[in-house]
Amino acid sequence: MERIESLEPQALYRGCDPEQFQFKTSAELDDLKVSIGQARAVEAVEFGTGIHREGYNLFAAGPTGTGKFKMVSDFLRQKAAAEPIPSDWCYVNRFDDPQKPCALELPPGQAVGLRQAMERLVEDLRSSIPAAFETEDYRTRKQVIEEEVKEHHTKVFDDLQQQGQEKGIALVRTPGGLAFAPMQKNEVMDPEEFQKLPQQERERIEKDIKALQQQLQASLRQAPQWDREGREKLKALNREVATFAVGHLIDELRKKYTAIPPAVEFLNAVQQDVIENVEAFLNPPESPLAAMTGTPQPQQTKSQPFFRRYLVNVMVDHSKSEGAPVVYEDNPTYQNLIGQAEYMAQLGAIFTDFGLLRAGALHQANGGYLLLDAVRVLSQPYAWEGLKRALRSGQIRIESLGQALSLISTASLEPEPIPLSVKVLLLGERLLYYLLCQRDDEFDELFKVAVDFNEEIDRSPANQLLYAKLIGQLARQEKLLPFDRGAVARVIEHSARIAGDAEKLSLHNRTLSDLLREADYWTRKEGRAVVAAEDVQRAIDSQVYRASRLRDRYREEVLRGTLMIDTEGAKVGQVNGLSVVQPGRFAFGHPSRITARVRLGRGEVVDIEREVELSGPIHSKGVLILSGFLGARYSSDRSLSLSASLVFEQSYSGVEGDSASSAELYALLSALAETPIKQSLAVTGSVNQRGEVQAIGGVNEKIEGFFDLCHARGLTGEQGVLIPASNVKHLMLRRDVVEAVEAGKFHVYPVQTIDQGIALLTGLEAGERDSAGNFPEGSVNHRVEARLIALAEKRAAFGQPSQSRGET
Amino acid sequence: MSEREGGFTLRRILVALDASAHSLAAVEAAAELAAAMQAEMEGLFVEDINLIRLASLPCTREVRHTASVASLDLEQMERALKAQAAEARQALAAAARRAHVQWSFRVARGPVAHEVLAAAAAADLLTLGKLGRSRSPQARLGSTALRMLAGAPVALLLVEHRRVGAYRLRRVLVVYDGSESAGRALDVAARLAEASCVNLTVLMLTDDSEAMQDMKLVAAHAIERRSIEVRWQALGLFEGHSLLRVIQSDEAALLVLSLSSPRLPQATVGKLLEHIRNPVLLIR
Repeated sequence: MERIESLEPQALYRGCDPEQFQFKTSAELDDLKVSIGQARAVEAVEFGTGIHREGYNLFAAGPTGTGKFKMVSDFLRQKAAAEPIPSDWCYVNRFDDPQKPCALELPPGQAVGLRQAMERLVEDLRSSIPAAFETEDYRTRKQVIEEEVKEHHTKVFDDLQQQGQEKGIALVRTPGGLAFAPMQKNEVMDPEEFQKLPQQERERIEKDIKALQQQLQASLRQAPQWDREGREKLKALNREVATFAVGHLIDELRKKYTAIPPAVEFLNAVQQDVIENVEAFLNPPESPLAAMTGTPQPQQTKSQPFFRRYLVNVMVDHSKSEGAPVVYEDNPTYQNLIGQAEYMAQLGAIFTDFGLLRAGALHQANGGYLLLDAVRVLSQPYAWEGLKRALRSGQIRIESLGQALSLISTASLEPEPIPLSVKVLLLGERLLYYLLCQRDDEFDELFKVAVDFNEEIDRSPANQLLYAKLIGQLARQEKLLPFDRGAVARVIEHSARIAGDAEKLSLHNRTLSDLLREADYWTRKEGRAVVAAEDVQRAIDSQVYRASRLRDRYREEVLRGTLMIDTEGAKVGQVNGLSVVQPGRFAFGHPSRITARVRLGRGEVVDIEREVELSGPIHSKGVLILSGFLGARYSSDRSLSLSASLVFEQSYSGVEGDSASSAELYALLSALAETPIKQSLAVTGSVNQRGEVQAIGGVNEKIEGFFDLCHARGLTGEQGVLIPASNVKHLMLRRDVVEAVEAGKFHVYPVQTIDQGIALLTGLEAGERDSAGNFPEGSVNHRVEARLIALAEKRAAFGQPSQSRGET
Repeated sequence: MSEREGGFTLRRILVALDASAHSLAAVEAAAELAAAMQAEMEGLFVEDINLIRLASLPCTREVRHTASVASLDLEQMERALKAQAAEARQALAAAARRAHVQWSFRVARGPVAHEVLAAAAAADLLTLGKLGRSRSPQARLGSTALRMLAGAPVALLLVEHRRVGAYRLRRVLVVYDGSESAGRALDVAARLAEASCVNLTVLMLTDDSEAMQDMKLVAAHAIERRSIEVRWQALGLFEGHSLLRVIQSDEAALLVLSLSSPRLPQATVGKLLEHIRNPVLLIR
């Protein structure tokens, strides 16, 4: 088998040649016309916003920081600008049922005008109505009516008094009512005198009094009727005068809004109501507060509770809009989305009316687009349910949460729902999108269009130029210094490193912007006007330094011998594995000692991590694959009679992933073959049942982790890392690693199979079966097989106890 | 109102009370006047002998406003009158306390007008509501008030209950026609205005503009030592309408009138009183 050579330095890092760029600095580059690398997302947005069917709302899925919001909102603003401005909406009083305010649709920009017109109208009415009621004509007619009523009363009492007087009887007012009494010398007759009267006379008086009393009773019963008739007549008169006073003022408005039937209808209702309530214009009811404190209130329509009924509450005003609205609701609570009825405290009691209805984001975005952050919508109580209900029903119904959940049954407002036509665009992580698809049946119905954002693009020369433009654009947006082409090239290289792939570029805008801003900071600190490659490098180094306390602590403990990692010599059943730790945004690799012990047993490979539940399922899977590999390769015709234990030494916090499975296999093979493994090498890669080494993640960090340790102890020239050959394309290693490899002080070996790996680690041939099916003598595989056969035989011997007893 | 050299004094104000809204308003007005003039108040509640008799008669019944009929008895009537007296006393006490005025209260039984007249003889001013309890529904001037207008030997303050706002003296109006009695009214009005720190408006009744100038000179001279703000307003010789309108334009203003002015016969004054709602102080 040919020996695996260390990778050439060029393979470890794919640089970006600044000379390929024609520009000197990024300032010379134009802005990008379209979002780079997001063709799929752009098409989805175009489709989703273009199709006007129910349920075609959008969900923009992708990692945060990829510029979803900006791309989508820029696109929508551009699109919306060319679309028609939607209607204005107001709420007005429903005079026959104030609990159910009317929604009034007006052409765009007209709502505020109507509100002002109504305010003026009320002001005008408050002067023109009293004026109409102060005319001589009105006063006279009113007096006539009042006199009529008075006359009725006077006549009855006069008649009674007259009749009484003729019979010597007077009508007297008592504390409790009225009474008739016989008179003598203009005074009520003394009871004694009365007794002295002849019997006949007394009876006559009693009879007369009784008759008068009955007449009085009859009249008193009639009195309310006369009063009522009087009031009715007065009301009819008031109505007539009011109609005259109101008519011409409202006619003017009606003429103005003649093309808008709902407005005309509203004005008709106003006219009717003003006539019904004309007294309020004559003697404005004082506000309760003013009545209590005695302070006069300013004569303003708004502060007069009665005149609130004629207000126009503008919910949506498009007087300053250009095109369809694009609304982003930063705090999508239920109320902020659906709108709400606010409450006002008045002398300790709270009340609400149509004038206290407030629009939500759905009102504002109606006829256009609404952008929402999916996580925020979902984390606000009932916001998601409210949003879905509005979209499902196609209307916005302002209800308090208490009403919506039937928790409160006090009388409250039931505003007329407003028809809803809006495209909602949710922004969120992909996982959230998938979860919603699975868990929420309605989600699929309401959000039919997924806008899937890429997080990386191919690193082709054309894309590198686009990326340079992106850098220039971001620098301009952020008002940063221009980047020279060396700096641009360095940023592109780093972007590939962030993508963890030499052939890709990261589209994580936030990370990129951070790097540009920080490079700008260091450049300005140096007092230069153009960002150079070294500034970018400094920004990267500084980011790493700030984040790497944990990494340095870890390395320090290894160097002090607290954590035991060998980088020299050779040990049986012990290998350096590599793992990646990412406590925050910064990831780093570090070596872990993996050991294996074998003894006679029933063919089980015990993963100690799994036994104590310190490993995840993927790690456990990797270990179980090892048994498969061992059994198939070395023990296909007999039972695997070993018991092996594998452990990550000094690991206390759990292991996940199968990237150490090849290392575990090497340790196991070494233990079986009793062949030492070079500790100057570290291993990463997963393995399948056929013994092929497979790609893993975080290859750059892992190599650098081992390199840093070796470098600290002093590079011997023997040290290196075995990586899966399929990971070579991902290599974007640090400059110092590349330089060490160049100088032959460090090595990176691309490994395809376990045999290649074990040969490198032991310095012995792995060995292939010859035509007779045997491994060559002295090869690692031969030793392993021999050991397994020996173990199997021993086990077989143990399995026949009677025979052995017989022999003795 | 007794006059002395260099001015008049107002020591005792008799308030005839019947616990009606008008008489309660009269209490307030009297208390204010008493405070301004440092007088004391004497409340009088008359248990109407007519009502006592009425209750004792076997043949009488009470017809309630609800058109129901109830029998009358003396005990019940006395209890009702006692309650009214207590209410009147309370109102008087409260008003006097507010105005920091000395007061007394008594109850008499007999014919109302007679009792009031008898008590008024010992007072400087008689105050009463323009309408009483026993008024006929449409009357604008009560029977007792009318009787007092004709027969009371002292000055008279008639007050009507106002539906809005409590009574508070803001302005004094006085009708002046140059007669001697009008001069007395002017003097009283000026004193009141000065004591209460309010404006005085002199309404001069004359047709003759020359006479008016003389009248004004005399009047101005009469009140020149009072530190008050005076407005002059000339009206045609008792032109009912214009006088009425001026008075009606400020219903809170106190009107001071002389009852013995040759240009204002008693009948005219009676008519005037029926049409205005201002408190009126009538000087003999």
